[in-house]
Amino acid sequence: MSGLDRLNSKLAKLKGADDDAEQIVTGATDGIIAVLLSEIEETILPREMVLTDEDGARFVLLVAGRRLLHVGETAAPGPDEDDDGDPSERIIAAFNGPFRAFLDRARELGIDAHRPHDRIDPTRIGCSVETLAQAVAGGPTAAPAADPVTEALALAAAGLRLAGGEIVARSGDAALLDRLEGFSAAATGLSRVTGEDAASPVGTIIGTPDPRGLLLARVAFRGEAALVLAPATARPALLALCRRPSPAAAPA
Amino acid sequence: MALFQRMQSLRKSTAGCRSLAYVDLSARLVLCSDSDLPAPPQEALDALCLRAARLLAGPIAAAAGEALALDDPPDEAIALHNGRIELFLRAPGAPDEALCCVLDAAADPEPALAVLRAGIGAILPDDTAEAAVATERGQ
Repeated sequence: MSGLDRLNSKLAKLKGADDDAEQIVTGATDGIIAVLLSEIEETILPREMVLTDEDGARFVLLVAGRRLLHVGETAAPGPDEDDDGDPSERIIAAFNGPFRAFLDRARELGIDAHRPHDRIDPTRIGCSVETLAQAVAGGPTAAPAADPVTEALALAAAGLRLAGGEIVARSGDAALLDRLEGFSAAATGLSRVTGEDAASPVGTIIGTPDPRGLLLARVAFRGEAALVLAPATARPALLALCRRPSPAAAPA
Repeated sequence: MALFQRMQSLRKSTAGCRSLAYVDLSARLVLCSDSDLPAPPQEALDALCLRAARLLAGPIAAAAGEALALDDPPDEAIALHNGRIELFLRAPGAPDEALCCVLDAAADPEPALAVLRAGIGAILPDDTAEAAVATERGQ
């Protein structure tokens, strides 16, 4: 428990700097967030961290493998509830929104940590500390860091994440993944068709316009690529994310 | 109406279309093209034709057809790179031929594809269509 004591001591010190109880001191919140990010960075085994304020209001952070898997007023939802959309966007929105507001409001904070009651699915993606730190640095109103590769995977029925031509992650329907893995050798040739562009995403979308059918798409950005089978209805969204200004070029 | 005029008419009716090329996928040859001024160099059209051949014919197209569980290689592809949008459509009556379109970066590909799909049949040269039918019949 020495780790928890240390953390509670840090939280008390940071909140103690706030002399006026009614005043929102965002500097204190930034300090607390830095402490929490550091704690997430050091957490390998699944941990449920519960932060409680002086009124008993609480927020739960589920952490595993140096990633934040859930943040909310209640315990983590099951994997099925967590399947829709890009998990990192959802987590960043909750972290920068309601959770940050909770930290701003709290006059006293305590933290407790324990193993989660339910088994944590090791394939849950969550949000890495690096991505979270980037989003936090942008402030509470900043949009989450856009990653076209992650967004393409979120639109897919099945997808492979490639780095340096190697498959580094798989997601989605198992039968479709088999088909994608069969195509992955040809995907190297596909990357040569359009080349790479350091400044903006590169996309190739192959398929018929049949709304009941599937599209095969490759979205590449900064050395990584998503190779996906997506519903034909996802084509406008895939086109849009390839045409958006790159995260680096976008105005802050 | 001559092939060139049909190409020009289709290009002008496709919003944001800067270049339109009708290509032979197996010979990797630009058969006819029409472009806004300044016209792109022949090398650029040849590269466009090569991309069409890779996406709609050959090993990548065959593997894509398998991944999509299609009986034949796919008939359409879109490439977005270096601020360019390129559309590739296989000619319905001649599977070895295709239409390639280069759009302005700001253009919307979906309506452009709809116009090209509707117009590709009209620009197909009659003799090419007859030749394709004759090939299918083994003549």
